[in-house]
Order: sequence, then structure tokens, then C-alpha cells
Amino acid sequence: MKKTITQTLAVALMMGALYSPPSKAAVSMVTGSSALLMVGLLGGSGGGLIVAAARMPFEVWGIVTIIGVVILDGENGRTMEFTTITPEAAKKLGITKEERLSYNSELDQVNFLLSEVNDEIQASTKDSKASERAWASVKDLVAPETYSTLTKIAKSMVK
Amino acid sequence: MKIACFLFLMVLLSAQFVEAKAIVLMTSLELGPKKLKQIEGRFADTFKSSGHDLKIYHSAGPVEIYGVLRSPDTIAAFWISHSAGETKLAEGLGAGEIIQDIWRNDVRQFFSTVNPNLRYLGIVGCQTQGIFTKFKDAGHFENNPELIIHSEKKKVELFRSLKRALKEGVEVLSRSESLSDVTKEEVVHFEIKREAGKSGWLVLGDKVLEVLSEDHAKKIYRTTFPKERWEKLEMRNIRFVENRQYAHEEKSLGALRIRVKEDESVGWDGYKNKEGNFMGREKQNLYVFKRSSTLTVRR
Repeated sequence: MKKTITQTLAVALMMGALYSPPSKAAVSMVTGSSALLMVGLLGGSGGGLIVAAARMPFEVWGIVTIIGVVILDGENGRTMEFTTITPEAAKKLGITKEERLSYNSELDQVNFLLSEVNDEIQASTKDSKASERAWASVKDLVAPETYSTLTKIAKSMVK
Repeated sequence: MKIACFLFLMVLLSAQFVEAKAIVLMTSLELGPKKLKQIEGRFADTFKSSGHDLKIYHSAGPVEIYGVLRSPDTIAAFWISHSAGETKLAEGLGAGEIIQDIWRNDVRQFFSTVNPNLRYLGIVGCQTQGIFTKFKDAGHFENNPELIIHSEKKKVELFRSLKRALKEGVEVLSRSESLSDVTKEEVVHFEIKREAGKSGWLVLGDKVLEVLSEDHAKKIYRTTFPKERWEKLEMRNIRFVENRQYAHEEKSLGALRIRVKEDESVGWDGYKNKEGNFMGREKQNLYVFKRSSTLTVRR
């Protein structure tokens, strides 16, 4: 037992030493702000979303260099993005065929909206209202079926 | 006898001279001079007797990768940077894979086009295997059946991964006898008219279509794209990405007018917000593909 506690402490200390906070705004899209980005799609009903987002299996590590060892990990440069919806996933999320086809064909546009919304949130009050306002301002730039798919993806994250 | 030996030697030397190609090392991460020297040393020691020219670019970015991988003189290339595979966050949501240069550009798509003479591409970085599997599956390297790519499945330490890549590179080059004849692939011709704007590049279907320099006046770029890939593309939108190596916050990317010479019924519209400004705030613009039935197709 004592050994386990010591090991845990050692691992925790090592993790603390390895962690370096991300420096770029883009990183926020895959960390804490991922929930904020999505909450605006729910129109004020995203109370449980933060919990779900916190469970996202995503780590953010800085560039790791310990005593001459260079780990070539680029995770902190990544950004959150919408991805293709398969027919199986659509079934799970209650997305209709028309919605899926529309969303998949506008995937590039959707990811531009996401980036725009992220910038809006970062430039304003950084809360759920800001997220709602940002999504509302870009809602018409994609087909209604596409937007409805986005809301269903966001709802699937609420636990 | 002496003359015969001399002539034989001359023939050998001239053959080697003709065949001499370049082995290129590109690094793109923040390392001190000591570490960079170590990397240079290992690279030079490995290939000093190869008979090929050795070239090294530190702090390499889009312009260097584009030039090195497309040059017919490059027989082997090594790239060292941070990278990561993709992560699924939820259905329809993920964190995309990335190969990140020192300027924080995602340069992944630069690696999907290589010259037909390239025999070996050593990618020293974390979790890039998925990226290259997708490129292969999509047929990006069909013009180069002899190409061997080293990529890593897991997170890796620089010098361990470099050691593996260099070792494999030597093996590949030692068994590559002569370069195959370059077969000309069919292409479609693009013309890109551009307003003045900052440095960037265009991505079409996971391939870099063109690298644009910083232009201070209107300019026309002419480039090609493999016809077979063009015909297979499901999405023909074009992304115009800012090159952060030469980024100017205050400058615009510059509007583009893109057309394909072989088919005048196709075109692209800039993706803009309600105010008529490009989405992406001068960091990245999107050009949405359109096909007009009212235009005539020139044969």
C-alpha cells in the first residue's frame, strides 16, 4: 500500500514536471473551451455538457524535454473539428439521411464556422451566452439540415 | 592496361556523377545548437559515403518541404518535427491529426505529393502512421511504387526514431539500383489570379495545389493537379492557408479567382459571412466548389 502511494506520488510529480501550459489560442478549442464552443448549439439547455466535455479523452501536453530526451508530441497544436458522420453514427444520434448528407457535404464550411465561433467567444465574454450569440450569427451560413446535425452532435455530448 | 584501368575508373566516376542525387534532412522544431549539431552529425555520418549530395534545412517550413519533395533530384528525405495522430472526441467530433512545423503550420498535406524519384521518406515524429496510411489508401503515391515511408505509430523520442529512420534509409538506398523512368501523369491545368496578399498555400483534396508567395500586386499562378485524382475527388473545395512563417497580422490573404483550363463549367466562390468578409479572418479562407450548367465546356 505504502509502495502504491509512493508510486502514485512519483507519477503525479513527474506529470506535473512534464506539463507545460499551451501557449496558443487554438489549443483552447480542444481543452476547456471545447464545452463552451458546443454549448451555444444547445440554445441554453447545455447544463450537463461541461461534465461530458471534461470526460473527453483528450490530453494536452507541452513540448516535453527531460534531461536531453525530446518527445516529438504535437498534440498541443491540434484543434477540435467536426468529422464525417457515418450512417451508423447517424442512426445512433438520430440524424436523418438528408441531414447526414447535407452535413457531410458542408463539412469544410462547418469547420470554418467552428473556428469563427471560437474566435468570437475568445474575443468576447467567454461564456455560454457568447457561444449562443456566436452560433446564432453564423447559423444561416450552412443549410438548415446541416445546422440541425450540429445541434444533434452537441446534444449527444450532454450526459 | 593502365589506360584501360583509368578509363574504367573514369566511366565509374562519371556514372556516379550522373546518378548523384540529393539526400535531404529537414528539421522543424525548437532545439538548441548542440542538439541540432548532434542530428546533423548522425545524418552526415550515415550518408557521407553514399555518393549523393547531403543537404540540411533547419527551421524548415512549407516552402522548403514543397521544393524538396517535388524536386526530381531528391532521392531520400527526412523530416523531424512534432506531430500527433487523430483523436475521436465524440461521434462527429475529433481532434485532427497534425504534422506541425516550427512556425506552428500544419504541414501534413505537403507530404502527399512526392517526386517519382524519391525512394525513401523518413518521418521522425509521433503517431504519423495514420496520416501516411490514409495517403497511401487514397492513392497519393501511385506515381512512385518503389517509395518506402518510415512513420511512427506511437509517441517517440527524437533520437530513437531518427536512428530507426536513418538505418532503414540506408537499407532502402542500398537496394535501389537505378531510378525508374518517370512516367508523365495526366494533369488538369489551374489558373489562379490573385490580389496582393500574404504568403500561404492552397489545399485541394489533401494535396497542396500551389504555394503562394507574399505578393504586393496582382499575380497569376499556373499550376497542375493529377487528372486521375481530380476526377476521383468527392470534395473539391480549396482551402487557402496562411503560412505563419511569413505571417503579418495586418495583411490580407488576398482574394483568388480560380479556374480549370480543361473545364470552364467549374469554379469556386469565396466562403464569406453576412457582411461579405471571408470566413477565417485572414488565417485561412475557403473557396467552395461550384459547377455551372450555364457555362459551356471548352474541349
